[in-house]
Amino acid sequence: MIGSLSFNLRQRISDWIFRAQVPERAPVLLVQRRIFIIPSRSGYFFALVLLLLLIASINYSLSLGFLLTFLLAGMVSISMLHTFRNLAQLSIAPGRAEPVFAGETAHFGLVLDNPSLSRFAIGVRRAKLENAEPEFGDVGARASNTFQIPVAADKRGYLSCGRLEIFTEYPVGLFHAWAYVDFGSKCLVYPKPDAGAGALPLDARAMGEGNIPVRGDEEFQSLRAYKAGDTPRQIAWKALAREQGLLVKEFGATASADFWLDFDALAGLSNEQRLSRLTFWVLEAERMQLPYGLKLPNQSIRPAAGGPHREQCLKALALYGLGGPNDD
Amino acid sequence: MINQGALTLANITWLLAAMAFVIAPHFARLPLWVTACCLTAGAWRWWIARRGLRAPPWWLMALVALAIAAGTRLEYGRLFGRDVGVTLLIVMLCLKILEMKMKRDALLAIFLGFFLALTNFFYSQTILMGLYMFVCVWIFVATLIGFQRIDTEATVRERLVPSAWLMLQALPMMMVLFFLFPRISGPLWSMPAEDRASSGLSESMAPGDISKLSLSDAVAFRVEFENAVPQSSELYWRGLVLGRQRGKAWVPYTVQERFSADFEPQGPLISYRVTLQPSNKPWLFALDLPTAAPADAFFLADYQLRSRVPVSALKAYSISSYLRYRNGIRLGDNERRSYLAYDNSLNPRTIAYGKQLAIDNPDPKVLVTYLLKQYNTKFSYTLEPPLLGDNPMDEFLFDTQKGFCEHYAGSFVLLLRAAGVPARVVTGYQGGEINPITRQLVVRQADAHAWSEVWFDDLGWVRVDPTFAVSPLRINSGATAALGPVGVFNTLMTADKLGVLRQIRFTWDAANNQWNQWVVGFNADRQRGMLENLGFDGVDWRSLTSLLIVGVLVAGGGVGGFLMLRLYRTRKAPLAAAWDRLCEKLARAGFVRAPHEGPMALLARIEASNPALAAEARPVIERYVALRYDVPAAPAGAAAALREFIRLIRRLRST
Repeated sequence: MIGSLSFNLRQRISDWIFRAQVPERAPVLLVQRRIFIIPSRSGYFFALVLLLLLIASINYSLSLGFLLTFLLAGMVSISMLHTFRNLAQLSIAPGRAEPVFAGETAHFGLVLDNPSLSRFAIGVRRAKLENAEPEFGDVGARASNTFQIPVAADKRGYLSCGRLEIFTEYPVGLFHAWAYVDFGSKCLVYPKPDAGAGALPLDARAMGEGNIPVRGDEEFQSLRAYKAGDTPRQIAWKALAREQGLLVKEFGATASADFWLDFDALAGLSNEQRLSRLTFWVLEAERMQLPYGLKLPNQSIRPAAGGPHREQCLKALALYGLGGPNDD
Repeated sequence: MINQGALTLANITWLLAAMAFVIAPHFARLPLWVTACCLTAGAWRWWIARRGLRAPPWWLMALVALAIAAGTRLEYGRLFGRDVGVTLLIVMLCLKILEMKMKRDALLAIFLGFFLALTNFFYSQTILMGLYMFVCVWIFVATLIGFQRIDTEATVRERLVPSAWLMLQALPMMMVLFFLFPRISGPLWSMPAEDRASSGLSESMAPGDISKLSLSDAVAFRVEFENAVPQSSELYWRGLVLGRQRGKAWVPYTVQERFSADFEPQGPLISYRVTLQPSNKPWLFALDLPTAAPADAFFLADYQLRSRVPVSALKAYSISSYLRYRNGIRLGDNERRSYLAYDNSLNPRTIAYGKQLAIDNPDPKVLVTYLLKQYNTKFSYTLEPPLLGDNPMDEFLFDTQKGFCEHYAGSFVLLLRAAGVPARVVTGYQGGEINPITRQLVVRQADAHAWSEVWFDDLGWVRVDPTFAVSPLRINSGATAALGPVGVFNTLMTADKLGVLRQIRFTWDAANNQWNQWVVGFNADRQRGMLENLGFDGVDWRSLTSLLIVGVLVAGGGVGGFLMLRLYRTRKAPLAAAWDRLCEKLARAGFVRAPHEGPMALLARIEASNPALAAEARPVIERYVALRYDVPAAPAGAAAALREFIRLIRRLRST
């Protein structure tokens, strides 16, 4: 079909332009040579209508018919420029992509910044995927709009957004103008939490000294300055009231209270199952505000609690065994 | 994939309105039930969109479609042809709109809507129709733009303004294509003729036929003379020759084609160019008597000028005439009999009177003079003659004695034939009005006229106009002068003492003429003529195509350049621009802002060394900080604050 033919053609074109420059440096300005334009399916159909109009005008010697035909033909040609202009000079930069769990949908942000006239009905979709559902939006004059491109996160690890196609058919839908960008955006995908993992293996702490911790019983160790990402629960409100600034209570895990989530302790399961189970337990421990440490065969993270610790642990679980620079 | 959510109420309303606009001129021609179908379908579709209902089921649509096809067959007696096609297209399009479910259907409807716009030109190609269709196309393009908006609904302004720009920017290319696109003359395939009511002279003349026409202000044809325009009394535009009396009417004989003009000219040759409005009749008009038939036309033996195909579009032809001539040397016996024949069963008093006249005046010339005198003294010229009964000429001649040109010409010819003098009726137009703006003679339907030709053995066929005897004013000054104001328009014209209306009418007529010359009548011949005037001699289709490509590139490039200029002229945001101005001013005072320096740091630096300047600059800079870094409460307030900031900067210079 025409659809898949043009898809293949576009793939080839985009492969050709991106032969050596991925990832691109943001922001990308959509200059003339980055924008492609071909008639849309409606455009081809409209060409047929124009031909019919021309034949009728010739056959019936309708001067006003000629006038109408040529007015529409002129309108089509000019609309090509308008469609091109709807994309040209947009400045594109990648936005944030928040980590998700496997099985969820990751959203890659893409910021379209418009230094000039209003743009309407701009679509963004993943270029490598045929029949990808596009996201649509307008970009006002001298304004910007952030598009969220959903990508299904099937596997843990880094999820790549891949090449994106930014396209438009505005104003009359007779031409399809598009451009590709590829910032090499990645989104971290944590392992899918295994809800069947059951309660926290608190007996694992038997490996330490043995008293069962009660909530709030953690040993207060020290105060440190607030960092972005600390949970409000950890903030030392009393210290704030004494005008000592925004401080955070750190709960040290003494040897006696150490609670370890140990990869190797989960015998009889595949690696992925172990990672899923550990992920679930990390979330459970966080929910219970219980300090925990993580032991993986290649690294161990000392017991702690709170946002950054949680992220560190989840990231280690996400990337375990996948190699790459982030796997240490 | 982009189809979802496009069939919103606003989009549907626009589509329905556009359709109503484009179909409206057809309503007068469509059968009433078709109009009713269209309006019902439109209203139903709107209601569906309004209430979010479902479209009618497919089987109902199919039944309705079949019923409409059957109805059309009944109405027109066939299922092909132009008028039937237009009717079917309209109804089926309305049904399509009723059942449309996706954006694709709506786009199809819009594209076919453009085709509907074209069908209006089958029936009218006037300036007003052109402008109206331009507006229709504008609304359609605006509708199309609405359907292309995906994230947000387009406002009325966001539809009308971009579409207006599209249309205006398309105009240069339209002009180039219109004038340079290689024109093919004639139809690509032959089409069945459509029977259509037409204005203008008909093929027969009965009492009341021409006086009906004289109410019409419509232009019959326009004439450009090469030299001076002859006197009004000499402007007899010969049309049909009606030699045969059939009942109350005069109709033409079947006459043979004449291959050359063989009358004897007396006086100068007059050359002129006629632009005939479409009449759907084959006859052409020329001054009495033309010398040669134009291309695609021929003469009949009695100098009727006929086009080979009915004049369905504006037709222009150049032709020459001698206004004085001697036509015919000998009348054959058969011809003499034909031109003496009359219907014995009607008008007995007229026939008896004619026979009596022949006895009283044996010389035909004396007889004609006598008759004209009778008309002159006893008869009066009126547009609203009394109704006539079974023997119309008897009643006219002896009872009412009031009539219009067809009464005079008809009764005159009948009397002469009864008296044994060969005679025939000629119909056409007489006179015309000179438009002082275009210097053209405009002949209107109101100028339709009938006169007679009488055979004298020594003179041949001689034109005798009995109406002239009754009302010389009609011939010398035109119908309006002779009859007084006729109809609303002419009443206004008479009341128009300052001549304003007359001026408007002349201007409008001149505009129509330009429109006819350059738009409606622009064909292969005119295209060649235009290019020759521009200095391109001997243009063939190949050089025309290269010209066309150059023209399209120039037109498209010009508009494209303008568009891209607007795109790349990206102005700085007003606030940033104002801040730059402020910094410039402070720099002139000796405080150059370092690239990393924030506004408050700059203010602190000024304060340290120049407290006076700082005191002055502080409110301005503080305002900038507020505008730049505070989230504005309302855009309107922000705009006012920005204006205030710019004003403050300006005042800073003045102190």
